[in-house]
Amino acid sequence: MEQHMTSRRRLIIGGALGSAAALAGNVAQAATNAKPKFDKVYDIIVVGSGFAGLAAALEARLGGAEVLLIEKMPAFGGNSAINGGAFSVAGSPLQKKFGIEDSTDRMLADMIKSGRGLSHVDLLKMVVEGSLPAYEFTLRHGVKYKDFVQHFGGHSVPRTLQTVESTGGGITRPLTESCRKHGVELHLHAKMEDFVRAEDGRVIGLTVRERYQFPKEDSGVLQTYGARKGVIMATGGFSRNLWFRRQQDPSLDERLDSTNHPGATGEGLLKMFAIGGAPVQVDQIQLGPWCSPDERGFGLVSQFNTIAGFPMGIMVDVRTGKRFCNELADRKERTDAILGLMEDGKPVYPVCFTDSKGVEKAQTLKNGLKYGVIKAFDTIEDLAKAYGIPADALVEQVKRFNAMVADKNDTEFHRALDLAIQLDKPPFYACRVWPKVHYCMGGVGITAKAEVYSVEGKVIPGLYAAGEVTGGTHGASRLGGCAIADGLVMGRVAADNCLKMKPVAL
Amino acid sequence: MIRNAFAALGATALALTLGAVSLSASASAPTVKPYHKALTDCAACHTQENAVAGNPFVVPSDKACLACHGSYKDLAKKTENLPEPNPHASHHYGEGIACTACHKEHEPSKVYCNECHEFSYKIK
Repeated sequence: MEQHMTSRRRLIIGGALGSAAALAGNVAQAATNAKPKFDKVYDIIVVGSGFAGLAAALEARLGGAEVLLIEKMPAFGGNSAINGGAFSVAGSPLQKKFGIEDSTDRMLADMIKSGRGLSHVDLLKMVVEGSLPAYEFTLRHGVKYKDFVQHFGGHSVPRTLQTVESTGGGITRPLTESCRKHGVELHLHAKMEDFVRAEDGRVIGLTVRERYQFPKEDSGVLQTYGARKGVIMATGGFSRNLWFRRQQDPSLDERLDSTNHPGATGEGLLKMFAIGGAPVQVDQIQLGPWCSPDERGFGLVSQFNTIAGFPMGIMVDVRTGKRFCNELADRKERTDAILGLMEDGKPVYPVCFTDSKGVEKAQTLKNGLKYGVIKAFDTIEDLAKAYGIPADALVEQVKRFNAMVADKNDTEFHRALDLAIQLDKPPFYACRVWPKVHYCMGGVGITAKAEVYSVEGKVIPGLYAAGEVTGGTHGASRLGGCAIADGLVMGRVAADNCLKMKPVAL
Repeated sequence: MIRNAFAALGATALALTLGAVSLSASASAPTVKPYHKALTDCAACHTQENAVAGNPFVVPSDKACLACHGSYKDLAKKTENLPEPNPHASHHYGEGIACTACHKEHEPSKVYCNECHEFSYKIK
């Protein structure tokens, strides 16, 4: 994270800001008073092309601004393009169609509970109340969803919609095309190098490495871009930054894979810290409980478990053949339970399975079987044998579970059994499970208008942030389906407020 | 099928005459893929249009690739029958991914999909 000081950039040295910069490891020094020379000037520059960045760029452009969106990777979409495409919306038309009673208050309560008291409720309210308008926004830009609502862990009712492709690419692709169509200037291979600030500390632009090649940090050609109204940071999390995540939690070492794309390294966040952006809950890092040790990254099992294994099946400890947690609890609860299955310092991978009825909507089943990360069995006994599970105990567990489904009452772990089915129709489909580093709840502090807070408790003028790069919204544990809501809602909020900024003459 | 599909792609490569000034290769020229050896002009890919601060020797734009190889749709059509998901019509990226995400000229090519998946594409 070496910082390049150039005479073209001015940096304000204040007491606290200077201290913050020093703490960030940068040597701050006064630059000349010369006005920066911009290679090009826009109204708004958006950094990052995931849900938050695309929503911000599109909203800003439709609001009349000249917009540049830069993406350091060779593809648009970031983690958003590879996630499961699951979007939690309170009060969607599909919920109404299925007679599901829901409200923003209920969604808010679920998210507060999941956050374990650490959530910033003003930010949560924005996300919850903005989820339906954001859903409508995606429909206007061509996004298509499946015709059923899903029940994700930690939610009190089914409220999660999913793209027909079972991936966030089902949202990022249409939004990228809409950006192109409406005249947003889109640059791939373009990495933000640093902020350009006015004498009063306002962010007025960026230096950017054009034609950058990840991960060659000295590649590309430096250009300086002006932003009359502001810069919106939508650079995502840092799950792939091994050194920084270990600083927050030493157990997140190289033995833990991540679901993220390789570019989720957090430089945008660190740049904001370097100019005094306020760190918020940076150590709150979420693992995805539905991953498999038998494949890399997000893989195929994640979607299988989310849509089939966890809501319609059970997950068991292979040593006992017994369940050990509520398979629909929130991610932190499930992850902690799974990580508890260690023996002599080594993971004892649990097995999650369901039957042929449970897999009807599992889109990744076919490929999961093809690549061997999901396996099919004709009997529970065969399944037990394959994974070294005591067969009698497993058969008994399935009987108990089936009885609880009939009674609609999980007396073992109090799981909501609305969507659960009795496991009685072969073949049975199973996979091994182990968590992976998935989402950084912490990040830079923002106001409910998506303005970036400085460590002095004031906003840094001209600087906005949205999505996973921000901290505070999700507290200690993000609910599944809420990252899309957060990114889309706060991306649009950032754009709306940036549009209101009085432009600087550049 | 895989070999045939990519051979077809290679066969579509043609010499391209640009309005830009010809930039002759130097003695220390970077390695070039066999199917591009017929292109003696660096400006076939390193176009002046894509230059940054006057420097054309940066990652080429897709425009240069597609000028010879056809549109994204054409390419997706050519690779639609591969036994793996179509690399040119990804659910994740669609047309929002640079050709150079996978196809490298001066170093080994690398399948971007396989950052997460285990597809058995053969890439030149």
